[in-house]
Amino acid sequence: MTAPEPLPRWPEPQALSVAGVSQPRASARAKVTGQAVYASDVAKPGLLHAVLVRAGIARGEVTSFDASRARAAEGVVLVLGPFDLPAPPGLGDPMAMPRSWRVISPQVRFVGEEIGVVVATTEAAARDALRLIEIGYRREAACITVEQSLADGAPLLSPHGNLAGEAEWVVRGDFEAAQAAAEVVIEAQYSTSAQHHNPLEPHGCVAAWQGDALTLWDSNQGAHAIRERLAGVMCWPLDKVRVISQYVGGGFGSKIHLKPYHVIAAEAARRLQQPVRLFMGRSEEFIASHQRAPTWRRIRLGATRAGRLSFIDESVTGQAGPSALFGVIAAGVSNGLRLHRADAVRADLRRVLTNTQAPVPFRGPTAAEDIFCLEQAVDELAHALQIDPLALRLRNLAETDLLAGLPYAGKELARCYRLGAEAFGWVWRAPSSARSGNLARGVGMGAAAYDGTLYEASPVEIVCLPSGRIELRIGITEIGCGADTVFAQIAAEELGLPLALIDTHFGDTHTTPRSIDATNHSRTTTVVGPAVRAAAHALRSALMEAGANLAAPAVQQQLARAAGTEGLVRRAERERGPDGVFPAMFAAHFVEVEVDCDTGRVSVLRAVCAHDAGRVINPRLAAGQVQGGFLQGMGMALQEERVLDPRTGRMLNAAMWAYRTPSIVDAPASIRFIDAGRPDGGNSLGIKGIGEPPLIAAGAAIANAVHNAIGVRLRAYPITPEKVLAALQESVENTP
Amino acid sequence: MNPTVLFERVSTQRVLHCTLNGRRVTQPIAVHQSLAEVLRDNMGLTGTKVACNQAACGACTVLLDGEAVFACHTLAAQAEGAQVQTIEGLASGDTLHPLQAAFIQHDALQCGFCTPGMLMAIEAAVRAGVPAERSALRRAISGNVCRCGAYEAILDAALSVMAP
Repeated sequence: MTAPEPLPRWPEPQALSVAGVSQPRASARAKVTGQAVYASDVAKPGLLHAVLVRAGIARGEVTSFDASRARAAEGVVLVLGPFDLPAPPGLGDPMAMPRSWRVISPQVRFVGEEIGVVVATTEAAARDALRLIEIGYRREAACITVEQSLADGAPLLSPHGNLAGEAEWVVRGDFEAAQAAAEVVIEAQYSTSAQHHNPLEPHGCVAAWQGDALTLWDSNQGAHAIRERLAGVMCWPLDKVRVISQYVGGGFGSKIHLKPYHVIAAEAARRLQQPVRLFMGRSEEFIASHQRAPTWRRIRLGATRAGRLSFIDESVTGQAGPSALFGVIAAGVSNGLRLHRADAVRADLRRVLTNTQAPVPFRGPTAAEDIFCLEQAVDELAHALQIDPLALRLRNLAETDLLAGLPYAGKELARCYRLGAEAFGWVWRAPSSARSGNLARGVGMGAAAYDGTLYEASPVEIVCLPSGRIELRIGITEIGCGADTVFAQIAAEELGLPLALIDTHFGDTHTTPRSIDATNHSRTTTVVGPAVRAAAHALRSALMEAGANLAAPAVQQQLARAAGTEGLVRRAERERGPDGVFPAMFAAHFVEVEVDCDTGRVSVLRAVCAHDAGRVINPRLAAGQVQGGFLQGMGMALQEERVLDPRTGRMLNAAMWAYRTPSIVDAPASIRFIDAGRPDGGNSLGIKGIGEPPLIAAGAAIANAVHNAIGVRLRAYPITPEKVLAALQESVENTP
Repeated sequence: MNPTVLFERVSTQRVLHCTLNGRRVTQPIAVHQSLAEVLRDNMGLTGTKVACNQAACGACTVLLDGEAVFACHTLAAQAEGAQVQTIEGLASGDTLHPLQAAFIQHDALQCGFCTPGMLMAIEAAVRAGVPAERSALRRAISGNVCRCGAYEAILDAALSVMAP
């Protein structure tokens, strides 16, 4: 289906009545009453429980798998090892990545990789049986860290060496000339840590067969894509596979892709002809549900004394895990390079193979890692130039997208700077100038850009039911962002009908048309929203043709009459993407922190987060995205860090009490969302995304505020108390 | 030769008597079962979520004799003779508890997985006489993690109900 021409643009926000106004979240009642059924709540008669067998070595091969004692244990009904499942066909399908095509293989590439499954009548029995399995390994020398992998004489992790693909080069503009024109140059090295998604609902599913038809209740971000890839890997007809994902307890990027557990649960249930439940325990969620890649980078910035950015030069290394699949998620620079105008940019990227879990997207993948560091470098440049960091950024606003070579579909970054600074009360002050006793306060800012270009087919069905209610049928999974609410608002606006009459139905592959692959890349509203509008527009015409008076007081009766006994159905595809412009989101965050110089602890006191998200459909839900994104960015900036044993590859903090995410006492007193956007030119609704930019913009603003508080730079995230104390100590020692 | 016995489960069944959401119940349990397992698996009350099973996130919070406990690390047997309240018992029929209504109004949730535990923790804090004051309430519910980061709205919602 080709994407149709867009409808005429929606009028200015003031002319709308439902879109642009905060409305309660559609799923809220089900969630506050405990009635919302998540995949992990699904119980079926005869339900069996599966637990995965995981490799205890970082690299090598399983040579023997003796499960005879486990099979004899009470309650155990099935054990499968690496020699019991045939290698599935469909190898090489990159969309089945990252590991699912292997399903269960004797090759081990990281500690915790799936090498088998135990199914029993209870989860406890299955876990108990794990220790009865005797596994023999042939060990191979492993590379746990990037340093190990890049060392001379390092074991080769692929026939092509220890890089995932070739080194990538990005160059725009005349770099030599820009370098020669620079009057001030700064250079520093930065790093970011592996960040785990840690959604409260772990990965997992319940698989049940009825005859030759499989139903999978699964915690994912895109039920249709999971269904297609699962059917592909299992060589099963697509129409015999149904995936249901009504409520999902968080994803943040981790639940986009097919994983081994999907296939293993479906295969075990097929062999046993009984429903099987397979959910990760919390430590497994850390060990084998993937994470954000750790990155290292050297950044050089050059500018004229007047503060005009001459060049950006980045040299980046990312940890790619054991295979080139998904290597691209290990490191990127594009959103950083488009953030500011520069005469020229240059970057080189290396993605290094290691015997660790592959990275998967995490809210703002590659962009957060890049911009956390780049925006610190911009702050360092401002200090070198003795220019207010806000003024420096205002002097370097990009008018066209450097990488795409196109003007923006809409760019209100300057407005983000201005309105954010105003709301925050931004007054630049000298580092270490606000200290009282052991407490030092500082202010910092940072910006973000994020491309909004991930378009895919996203047909929407809208039905006027015989009851006179309207149902949107959309093939997405809603993971808590509120897309269902926003879609109902868009339809209500276009139909001119009360929001209360409209329901959004999603999360079931058998009752919705295939939509975008997943709820990801801050694009669900932007890509699917215009299709919702077009469908509603078509339904409105059809209703009026059928004689319905949409302005009548008893409008539901009018709708019921027009719907007849069959209901009235209309479908629409997404709009064609915009020509000649580049859609992107922007943000500027302003933060005040307090650093306890005795303990090294950093507390974020308040944050003002100005975002250009185009036209905001539901301000309250948008504020929630901003607050949540900021907190995850704060976690990445200050506390979240995977600790791996560099010898064995075991994760040492695979527990929620050891891997700490921001708690309610860590959260700042206030995270204020400033809507600095205007209706965007990227689509007929004027909307943009808001899911990821709040995380991306948070980190450098916090790090810059820490520098402002104590006068010392901390360039290796997370900025933990140990690092703060060490940096303070060093600065004392270096003071003459 | 007989196999070596590595471990053995002794007879472990018993019957739990308690008051659950205002109703007296008699439920066969195994002594090793957690309260969360019994509520979810034996009784089908899946509103109580188990997110970490490590007593580190609070998603499984229920009230045991009016006090918040982590149901994943409370033995069901400890509820013998006790009053147990779960999210399913918070509303009165179709009438939402004021905290639930406030959560909707303030949008104090996103994915919703922490929500039942969060509501029960706040209810326990209110019953324990925690003052209607931001910092006190923060400390009182600091064992409950919301990975979506709805903390500010959660506090706003709770205080809108607690404030006189």
